[in-house]
Amino acid sequence: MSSYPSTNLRVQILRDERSRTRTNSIDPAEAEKEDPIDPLTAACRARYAQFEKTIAAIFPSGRPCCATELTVHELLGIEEPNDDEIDTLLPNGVSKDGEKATPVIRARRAEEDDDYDMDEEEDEAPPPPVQKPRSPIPPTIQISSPDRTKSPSGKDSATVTREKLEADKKAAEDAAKLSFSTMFYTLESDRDAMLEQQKLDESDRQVNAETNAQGAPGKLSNANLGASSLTLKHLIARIDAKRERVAVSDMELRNLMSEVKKNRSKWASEDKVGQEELYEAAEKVVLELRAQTEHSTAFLNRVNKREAPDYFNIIKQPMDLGTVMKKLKQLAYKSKKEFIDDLNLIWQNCLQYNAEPKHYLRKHAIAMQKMTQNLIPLIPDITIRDRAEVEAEEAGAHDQDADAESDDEPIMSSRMNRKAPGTSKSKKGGAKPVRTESTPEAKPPTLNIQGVPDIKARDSPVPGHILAETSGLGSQNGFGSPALAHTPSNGIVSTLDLDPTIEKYEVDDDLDPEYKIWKTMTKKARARAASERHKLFRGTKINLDEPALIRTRVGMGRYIRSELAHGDKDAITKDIKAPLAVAVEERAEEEDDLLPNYYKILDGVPELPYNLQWLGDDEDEIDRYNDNLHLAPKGVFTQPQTGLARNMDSNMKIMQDTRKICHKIGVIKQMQVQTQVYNNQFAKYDPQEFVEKEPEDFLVSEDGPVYSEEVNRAAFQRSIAKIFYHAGFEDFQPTAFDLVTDIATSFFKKIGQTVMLYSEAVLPTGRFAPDEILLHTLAENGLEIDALESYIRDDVERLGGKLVQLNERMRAHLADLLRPALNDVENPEAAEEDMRHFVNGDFTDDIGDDYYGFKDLGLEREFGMSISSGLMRVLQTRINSNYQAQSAINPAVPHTEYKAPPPFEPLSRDILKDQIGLVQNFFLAKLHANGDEPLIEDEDLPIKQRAPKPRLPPTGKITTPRKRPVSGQGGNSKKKKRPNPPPPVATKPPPAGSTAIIAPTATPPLSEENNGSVPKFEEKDMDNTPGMMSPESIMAV
Amino acid sequence: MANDRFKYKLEIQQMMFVSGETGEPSPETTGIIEDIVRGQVIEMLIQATAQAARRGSRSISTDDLIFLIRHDKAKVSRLRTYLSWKEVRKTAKDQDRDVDTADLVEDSAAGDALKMRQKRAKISLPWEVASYFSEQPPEVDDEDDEEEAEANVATLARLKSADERTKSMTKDEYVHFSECRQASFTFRKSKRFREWAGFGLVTDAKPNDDIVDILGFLTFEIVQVLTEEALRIKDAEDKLQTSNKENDKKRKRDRFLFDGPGEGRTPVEPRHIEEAFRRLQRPRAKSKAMRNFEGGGVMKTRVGLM
Repeated sequence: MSSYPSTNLRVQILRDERSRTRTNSIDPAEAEKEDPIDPLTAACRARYAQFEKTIAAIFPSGRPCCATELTVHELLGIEEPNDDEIDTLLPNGVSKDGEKATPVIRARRAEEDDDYDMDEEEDEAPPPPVQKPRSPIPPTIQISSPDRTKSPSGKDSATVTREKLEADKKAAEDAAKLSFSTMFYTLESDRDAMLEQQKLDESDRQVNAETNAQGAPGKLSNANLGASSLTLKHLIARIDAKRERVAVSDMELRNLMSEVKKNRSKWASEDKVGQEELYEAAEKVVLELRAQTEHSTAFLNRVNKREAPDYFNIIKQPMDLGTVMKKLKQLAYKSKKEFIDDLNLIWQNCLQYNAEPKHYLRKHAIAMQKMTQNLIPLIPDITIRDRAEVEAEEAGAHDQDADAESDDEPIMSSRMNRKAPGTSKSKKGGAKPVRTESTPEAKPPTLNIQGVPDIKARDSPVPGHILAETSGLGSQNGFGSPALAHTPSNGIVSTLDLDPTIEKYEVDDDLDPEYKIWKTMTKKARARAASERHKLFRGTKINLDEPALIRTRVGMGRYIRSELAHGDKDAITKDIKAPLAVAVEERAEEEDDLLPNYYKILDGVPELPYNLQWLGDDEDEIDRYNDNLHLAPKGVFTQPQTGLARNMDSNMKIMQDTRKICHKIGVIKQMQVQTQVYNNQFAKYDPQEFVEKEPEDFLVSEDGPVYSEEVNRAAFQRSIAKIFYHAGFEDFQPTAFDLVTDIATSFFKKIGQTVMLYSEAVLPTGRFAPDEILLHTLAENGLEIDALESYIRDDVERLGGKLVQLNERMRAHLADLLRPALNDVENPEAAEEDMRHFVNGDFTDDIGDDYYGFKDLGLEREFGMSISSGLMRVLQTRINSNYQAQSAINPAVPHTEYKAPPPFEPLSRDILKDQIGLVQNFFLAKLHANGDEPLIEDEDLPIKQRAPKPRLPPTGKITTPRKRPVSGQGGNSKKKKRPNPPPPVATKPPPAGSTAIIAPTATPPLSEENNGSVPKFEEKDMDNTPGMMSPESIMAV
Repeated sequence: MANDRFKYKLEIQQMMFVSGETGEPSPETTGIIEDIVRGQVIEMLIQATAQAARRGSRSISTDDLIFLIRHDKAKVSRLRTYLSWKEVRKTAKDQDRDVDTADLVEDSAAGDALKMRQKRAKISLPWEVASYFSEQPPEVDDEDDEEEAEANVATLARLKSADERTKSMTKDEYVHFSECRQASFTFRKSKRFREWAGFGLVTDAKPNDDIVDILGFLTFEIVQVLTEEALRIKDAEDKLQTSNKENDKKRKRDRFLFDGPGEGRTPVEPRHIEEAFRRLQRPRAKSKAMRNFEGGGVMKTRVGLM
C-alpha cells in the first residue's frame, strides 16, 4: 500500500524549471527584460543549436524519425525560416535584436514550445478543448484565463491550473523522452538519486510509524471513512469487533478501505466538509515537494538537536515535511492556510537559521519555496467545517429558498451530496457545483487562481507576493485582477518577504536545463534502476542470491517498438519477429518509467542464435537442441585402467585383505588373554573395495575438459586419497589432505604452464617436438625419468610383491594362532586341513559337514557376530585355554629330549600314605571335605573356581592376599612364585619379567622325584635365554 | 691456534686416504673438511630434532636420523647393514664372554656365520611396509631383498675399488690401509664427538649410542663423498693443466736419466674441497620446482645434506 499517488497523478503536478524559463522567454515583457542581459548567452545558444543540427546533418542516420530537416544553408547560419510558425511565433521583442544568432534560438524555442503545446492539447483531460493544432497562440498561460473559463465543461480555474501543470509536466516528460534518443546521459548521478530516494522512503516510513504510534487502534466506525461506511457497514462492524486481532494501523485500514471503495479517497470524511478535497491536494503537494530530492533532503525530517545544538534557540517553531505529512495524516489541518503556513514555515526556518547568504541550504530552501508556490494553486481553498454546521447553514438557506427539503434526514442528504464529487474522480465537474452551492468558500479559488498564472508569469522575482496572494483566504476573494499581485497584502506576506536579489543569486543553478529535466524526470526510475543494479552486487562480487535477470516480453516489445519507431527494420531479425510479433502488439499497460533504452540492456540483448531458443516466459518453452548439448562422456572423472592404476588397485586390495587378517589376529590375541569375550567387544572390520564413482550424468555443450572446479577437485582428491592409502595411511586428517591437494594442484598447474611455455616457444629450427616438451617440462619441474621409474618400480611394483609376501605371512600367523583351537582333536592332520578353511573363512560345501558343525562359521561371520554367542564362547574358550596350555608347553618344546613330566596323579586316599607325614593330616581333612574323591590340583580347576593366588612382593613379605583371580599368561609366570607348601628344591627363580619362560609347575612330590633332571633343565633354559625370547623360536615349533 | 680448533685432522687424513687420496693433505684441507662435516652434523641434528619435536618427542631417535637421508636408498641400506651388524657384534661380544675362546676356535667358521646371520636383528623403519599394519607377523628368515642387493651394488663397487687399490700393496701398506679404514669420528671418541658437534646446544646432551654411531657412519660417508668429488675436480684440473703445459713447452717432454724425480701427485687442496662442496650443494631441480612461475629465483636455502 503505497502512500504515493499514482505516477500519473504525481506527474501531473510536477512542474519543472524548464517550463518556467520557457514561459518567461515567450512572454514579450520578459523577453525584453532578458535579452539585453545576456546577448552572449543567446549567441552561445545559437551556436549550440547550430552544432546540434550539424551533428545530425553530418551523421545522417537514415532513419526517418531522426532525420534532420536542416539544410546546408541553415548550417551556414543563414536564417531562412522554413516554417511559418516560426515567424508567427516570434515574439515581438526578438525582431528588435540585431544579432543574427538570436532568431535561431528563438525559432528553436518556439518550435519546442509548439511541440509542447501540441502535446498538451493531445494529452489534455477528457473533454479536449476544441483548438486547432499548431495554433499560433504559443503560451498556454496567456490564453488560460480567457479560454478555459469559456470551455464547455465548465471547469473551474483550479482545474485549469492543474491541467496546465499536468500538461507542462507531460510536455517536459515528452521533451525528455525525445532527448533520450539524441542524448546520452552518464549514469553517475544515479547513485545520488538512489540515496536520495532511500532517504525519502525512510522518512516516509518514519512518518508512518509515528502516525501509527499515536494512540491505540480506534474504532473504524468512528474513524472518518466517509461514504464507504454505509455500504461497507457490516464489514466495518466486523472489523471493529475483531479490531485487536488485526495487526494494522488505522491509517492502513483506512487506506485499504479507500482502495476498496475506489471512488472515495482515504481522506473522505463523513462529517467534515471539504476535507477530502483539501487533503487530497495537500498530500499531493507534500509528496511532490518531498520527491524533489535534490532540494528536499534537508527538510524531510526534524532537525536533530545533535546536528544543530542551537537550532531550537533560534527556531521556536520547528517544522519539516515529515511533520507536515504526519499532521496531514492526523487530520490536523483545518484549512489550506494552515497547511501552507506550515510549509512556508519550513523554508522560513531554514532561511532564518542559516542566515548567511551563501549557505548552501538557502539555495535548497528557496528552490523548495518556489516549488511550493508553483504547487499551491493546486490546493483548493477550503476550510474544513463540520457537516453539522454546514448543514445548519444550508438548512438556513434552504429555509429561505425552499422549505420542501428541510425535513430530509440530514445524513442521507449529506451523503448524497458527498457522493457527487467522489464519483467523478477527475476532480472537476460534479463536485464543484455542490461546493459552490453549499459553501461560500468554494468560490474564491476560481477567482484567485485564475489570476495566478498571470502574476506568476509577470513577476517571478517576487514569488513571495504570489504566495501571499494564493495562500490568502477568503479575504482576498474577488480580487482577480493582476494588479492585485503587486499589492502587498496583510499578515503572511511579511514573513515571506524575501530579498529578490538573494533569491536570484541562490536559485541560479549552473546545470544545463536539459540535464536538469533529465534529472528530475527520471529521478525515481533511475533511483530504482540504480538500486536494482546495486542489489546485483555484494561488495565487489556478484551477488549470487539475486534472481537471474530475465528478459520480459513487455520489455522486448518496447525495445522492438522503439527500433521500429526509428524505422530500422533490419535491426529486428526474422527470428525474433515471429515470437515477438505478439509482444509488440501487447502494449505495456503502464509505462511508468521514463528511462531510455540503455537502462534496459536486457531488452536489447539479441536472440541467442542457437542452442537455446526462447519461446516464451514459461520454463518448458526453452527448447534444447540435442546436437549441441549432449551427455558428457563417461570416464572423465575416473582413473583410466592403465597399468599403473591397476597395480595400485591390486596393491590396495591386498592391503585391505592384510588389514582384515590383522584384525582377526588382533581379535584372537585378545581372546587369548581375556577370560571372557563379549559379542559386541570387537568392532566389525569390513573394508569396502575401492570403487571410483562416476558423477551423475550431466550435459556439456562442447568437447574438451570439463570446467567444474568442485568436481575436478573432488576427483583429484580421490586420486590423492588413493595414493595416501597406497602409501600406507589408513586415514588422514582433512586439513593435511586439503593441504596436499592444494600443493599438488599448484604443482600440476606449474607443469601445465611449463608445457604451455614449451609448446608455444619458437626455436630457430621450428617448434619443440612433443617428447621434447615433455622431457623439458619434467626437468624443469624437478622430475627425473629415473626417479619416476624408480618410483614405479620400488614403490608400486616391488611394494606389491612385499605386500603379497606380508599377506602370506599374516595368514600363516593367523593360522598358527588358530591352531590351538583345533588342536585337541585326535587327528591333527585332519584338523590342519579344516583349519585352513577355517582360517580363510571359507567353509564351503565341498567339505560337507564342517569341523565343528558350525556350518557357516566363517571368521568374518564370526566377527560379524552373526553366530550365536554360544559358539563364540566355545571358540573363545578353546583358544584361550589352549593358549594357556600352549604357552605352558611351548618353552619345553625346543628341548624334546626332556620329556614333559607326566601330570600329577590326583591325590587320593591310595597315595596319601606316600606323602610326608606333616601334610597327611591336612590332605586327609581335604579329602574328607571332598567326599573322599581325589583332590584336583588348583591349576586343573575351572578358572572361576580357582582360589585367588597371593603374590609375593619383591620384599618377600606376605601382605594381604590379593583377591583378583590371576588369569592368562601373567598368571602362569606367577605360579612359580606361589609359595607352595613344599617349595621345589632346586628351582632357581627365573629372571624377573621374562614371562615367556615358564617351567612346568613342579609340585612337591614330583620335584622330589625328578630331582635330578630339574637343575639341568633350568640350566639349559638359562643358557638359551635370548633364543627363547625371539619369536622365531616359537615359530620353529 | 687454528690447529687447536680442528680435532680430527688425523682421522680425516685417514678417511681421505681410504677414499683415494694418496697424497698427504695439508692441515688447511682437513680443516676445511672438518668444518664442512661439522656443519653437516649440526644441520642433521637440528633437522632431526625438529622432526622429533613434530613427533612430540624431545630427544631424537635413530629413525629421525635415517629419515633425513631416506632418499638416498643405498646409503640407508648401508646404514641398516651397519646397524644390524653392530647389533650382532654386541651380542657376539656378550656371548664371547661366556663361551670359551676354545669353543670359538672349535666352531666352524661357517656355523658361526650362520648363527650370526640368524641373530642379525632386522632394523625396521617406520615407513616400511610392515608398519602399514597393526599386527606384526613373526619374522621369517627368508633371504630377501632385491633392495638390499641393489644397495649392495654401491657397496660392492666401493669394495672393489678398495680391492683394486690394495691389490698391489705390500703387507705393511695393507695394514696401514686397514687401520685407516677404521678411522672414525666417533669410535671410542664419543665424548670428543659430542663436544665437537655441540650436542648440548643443538639437541639433547645425552644422545643414544646408536645415534652417535649413525653419525659416525654418516660423517665418514661425507668425508668420502667430498674427497671423491674433490679428486674428480682435481683430476680434471690436472688434465687441463698438463694439456696446457704440453702445448706451451714441448721441450719438457723429454726426460733424461739424471733428471730429478718427476713431480709427484699433489694432494687435494682446499679450493678443490670448496668446489666439491659447492657442487654437492647445488640445489636440485626438485627443490626449485615449486617456485617456478612464482618469481622464486633467489631463495634462502638450508645447507643440503650430503
